[in-house]
Amino acid sequence: MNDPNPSTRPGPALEALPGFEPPADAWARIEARLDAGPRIARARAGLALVALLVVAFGLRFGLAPQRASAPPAAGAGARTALQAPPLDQRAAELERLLAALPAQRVTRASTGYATSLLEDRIALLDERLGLSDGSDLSPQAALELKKQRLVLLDSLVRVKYASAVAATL
Amino acid sequence: MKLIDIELEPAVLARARGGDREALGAFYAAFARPAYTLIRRIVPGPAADDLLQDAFIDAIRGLPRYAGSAPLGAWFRSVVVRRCLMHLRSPWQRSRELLGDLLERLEAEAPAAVLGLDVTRALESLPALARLVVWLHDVEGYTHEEIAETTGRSVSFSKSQLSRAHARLRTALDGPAAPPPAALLADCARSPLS
Repeated sequence: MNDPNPSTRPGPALEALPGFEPPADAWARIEARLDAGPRIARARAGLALVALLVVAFGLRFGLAPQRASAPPAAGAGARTALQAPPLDQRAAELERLLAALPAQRVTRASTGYATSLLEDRIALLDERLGLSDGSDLSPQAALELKKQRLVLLDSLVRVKYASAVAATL
Repeated sequence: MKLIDIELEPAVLARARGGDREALGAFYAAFARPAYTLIRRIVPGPAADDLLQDAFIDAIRGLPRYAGSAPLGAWFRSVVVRRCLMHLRSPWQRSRELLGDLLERLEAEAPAAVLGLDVTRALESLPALARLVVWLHDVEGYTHEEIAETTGRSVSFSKSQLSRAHARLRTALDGPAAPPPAALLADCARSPLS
């Protein structure tokens, strides 16, 4: 199907639109990604180890915290309670995974935004859990905050792991 | 200046292909603004910043394989467009396009809602693929055959997209500004996507 009236095409109006200046730090970010090239082999080795840890963590604890915190089925209560690790232990495992991920400069705006959002929320929960010292929180409320923190930690591991993998491609 | 019109001095290009950082900086300086403009016109929003980086990384890694049979600007433009297409085809973007389709249907039912826009807003009101087609054809000078090859669609698809995009742009640009009818707003408020 051809344009029935080429003389009224909006092409000139589109061509007359002003150009955009690229972000001031764009070249610095590109250079950072180029500089990451020689470190890729080492990063890949480290990531392979972290990937194993992530899989092991997933197999051991399950990556959906609500599963472990759901009421156990009748008759299986004692066994489930024994098998489900405490929230603090699962959080500590995730924090070890985060520490094992190779440090890297954030070069993608979207990844940086997601990471900072998750870290801010975790810090907020840490503050609430830490400042309250448990005294003004009911056990149920503290448990709920710890569950939320675990979910956020899990998401942070996934985002940082995906970002680290992407940086090696 | 368009991407296709830009060239590098042969000596600078040779150094850039060898990975010389200063020459790569010159390559970036020469191409960044038109590349970013092209990306922003096809993909409005914050994703454009990431796409600019991705396109340059692709190009820098691909420079040693650049044969020189096509002008450097044309080659780099194809790298940029390919990056934009990969973004538009991503699952996340396609889910956003579903919302765009709904909005398009609503606009078709009440054309007064999109009348009287400026050129930028009129362009951004187009569905992503139509925006890509109209920009590549009208501004970058792609033929329908080239658009078909780039997008993996047919020539007739490119022509129909362009024709519809032109009609929508003309309607949006020529008509008087008018507020969306209350019934349309009420429909939007009842949308299950909200």
